Amino acid sequence: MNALAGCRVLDLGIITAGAATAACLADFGAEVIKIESASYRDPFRRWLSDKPAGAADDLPPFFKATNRNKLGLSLDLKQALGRATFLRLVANSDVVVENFRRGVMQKLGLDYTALKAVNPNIILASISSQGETGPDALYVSYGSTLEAVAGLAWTTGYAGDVPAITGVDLNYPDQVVGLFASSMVVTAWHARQNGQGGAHLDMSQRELTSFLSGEAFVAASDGAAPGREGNAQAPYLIQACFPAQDGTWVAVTVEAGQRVALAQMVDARAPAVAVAALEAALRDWVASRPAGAAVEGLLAHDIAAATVLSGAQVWQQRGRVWDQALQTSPQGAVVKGFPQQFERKPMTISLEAPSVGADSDEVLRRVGRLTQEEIEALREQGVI
Amino acid sequence: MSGPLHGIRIAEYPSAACPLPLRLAMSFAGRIAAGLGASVVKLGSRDDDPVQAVGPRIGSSSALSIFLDQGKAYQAVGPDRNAVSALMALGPAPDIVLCDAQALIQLQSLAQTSIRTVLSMFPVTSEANACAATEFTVMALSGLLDLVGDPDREPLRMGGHQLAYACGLAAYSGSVAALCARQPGSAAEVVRVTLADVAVWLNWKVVAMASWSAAGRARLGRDAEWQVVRCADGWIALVFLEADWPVLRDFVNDPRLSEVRFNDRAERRRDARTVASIVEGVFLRYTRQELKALALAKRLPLGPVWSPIELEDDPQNRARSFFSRQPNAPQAPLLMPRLPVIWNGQTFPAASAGAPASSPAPEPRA
Repeated sequence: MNALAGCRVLDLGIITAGAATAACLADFGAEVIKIESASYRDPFRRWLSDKPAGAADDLPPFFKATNRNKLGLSLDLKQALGRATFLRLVANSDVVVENFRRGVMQKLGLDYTALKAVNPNIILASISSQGETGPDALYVSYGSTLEAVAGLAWTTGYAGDVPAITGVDLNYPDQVVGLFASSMVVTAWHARQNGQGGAHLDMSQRELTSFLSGEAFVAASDGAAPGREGNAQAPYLIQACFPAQDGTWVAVTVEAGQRVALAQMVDARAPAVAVAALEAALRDWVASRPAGAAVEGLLAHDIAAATVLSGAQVWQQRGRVWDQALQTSPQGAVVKGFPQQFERKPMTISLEAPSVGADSDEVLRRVGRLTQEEIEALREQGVI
Repeated sequence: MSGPLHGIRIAEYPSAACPLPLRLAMSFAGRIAAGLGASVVKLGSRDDDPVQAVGPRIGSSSALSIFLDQGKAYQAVGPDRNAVSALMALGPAPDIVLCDAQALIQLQSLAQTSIRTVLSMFPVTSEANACAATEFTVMALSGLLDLVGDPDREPLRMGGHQLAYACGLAAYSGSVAALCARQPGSAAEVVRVTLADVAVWLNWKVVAMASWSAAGRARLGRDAEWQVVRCADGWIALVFLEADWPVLRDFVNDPRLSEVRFNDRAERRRDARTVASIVEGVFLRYTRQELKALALAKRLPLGPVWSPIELEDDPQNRARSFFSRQPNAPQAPLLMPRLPVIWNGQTFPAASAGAPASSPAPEPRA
């Protein structure tokens, strides 16, 4: 894919939110240079739990999955020479992505004003918990913190029960922000190509999480009281998970127009029976057969149904139910794939995730236009 | 500033048979584009738009439509059901058409310079496309339903339409990328977005772990390392990483948490129910505001659970002008979030139909 051909991204992003944003840009054809240093590495490099046997210590699978299609540069931004070198790179780049704690870029002397001074067309994507400004700008969060403070947890949970969060294995806001933040960078790149100049994009993950529940705010201000309703959801007559005979959960959505068909299928006495009674009959019907048979029977009546799959079962559905979301790297690692795909020029995974500084010399020479002597001086001083 | 997408023309064109989640995804993609200055039309009749009928209702519309259709206009398709004619009546061919696979068939005579972003439930070649499916059942097939809830109760979806909107983000992103790639005189890209792939993309960690046979941890409920616990006036999300543990432990100041075994994360995860119970016992003495102040002061990632209506007056949201009120005569004005980006100091508040707006960002508070 060549949407971002000619676009160079300096990636200071870490863990998921920042690093995944830059990964999306790499997939769109940008040259992405991941910048770490001996004194500060992406914490994902230390995510060693749940790794497969034989994985290298500085390339655990979550890091590899998120940082493929990138080059690696080691550069210590805590040193003055490192910062000066970074600005030389900025002068010849197009985008900087960062999701540090607020204030870090300012303390380093690398805020938007400083970047713009060396490159008026630079696009700075600042991804943060609460945004650049405001009394809570320094609030620390992970994805599930944001679900709580943004209103999503309020509407997630069993009906009438406590709010719920997605937890450490999903951290939903940290995943979805990569889609949004990369889309804003692409929009800024398009605008720049059309003469609008550089941009500072101040993106609050909390605001994004609230925006993803936008209709709840509209409804609440009209007097509705959005709350937890389990799996039920308008406009559906019934939406729930039911345990099948083999213990597997079956997710079912019944549309209002399917009431009669469902009643006939589950042998309810009359279609006019109350929804609660119909749901109870459906529960019994699912419980009396294996999950596969229940799903097959429901689908035969055009009623949406699926077994609730585990991660392992989802993996087995690769190529059948999904085919782009995870990809195999050139060396055979399972890595993050694509949330969309292009027919004419498809996205591909062509580079493994880099070790720290794997491409330092080449990047400094080509992008920073440093001489070999300058590079050696940086190395001697521990800057790279 | 009229927005970075000023001059870009986008059409949303769901077929009559288009499943609801794909309609929502198209609308969400169009909502972002409209907010950024694009001219967005919904092809079809407002009266035939099923999203208008999805509750909760507000007047003759729905909260969903009011949120998603800000800054857009409807363009009717004539009795000949010719979508291309309807589009061409508006002027030059649109830059981007968001559609489903059935609608794509109707667009064959549309100029090849228009980007087609085609949404489907499953990959084009998947046999699953022949079966009924919803946002909920796709979440089941992607493992997303297996993450939230208690182990002995039914798996839970996230609130709202998270998967459909995430799909909308992928559609928006792919569409603008295709816009960047478009070359004069050449056929534009066809962008494919599937609800199932977006779902698995979101759930990549669990599925990737499964690919190397690591044990999954499904729906742990009260045994989850991170969970929601009670406090004096509601709930708070108990979220912490390894570095946060000593700070949290010292604040809670309960000798049971000082047991040596709890210095080990694996042990804390094994006995997360006990940890949460002890923490909750202390948090019950504090309000959400007090715990928020604690979180800010001690840099703990705790999350007070706020309701949507409480968030309007949240100081952070106020300081960043995140919400505005939209006219809704004769009822009270409606609460509407702006786009979640501040662009060179400009915000993009919700706009009335056909009139995208922008305004300066508020001054940072001291």
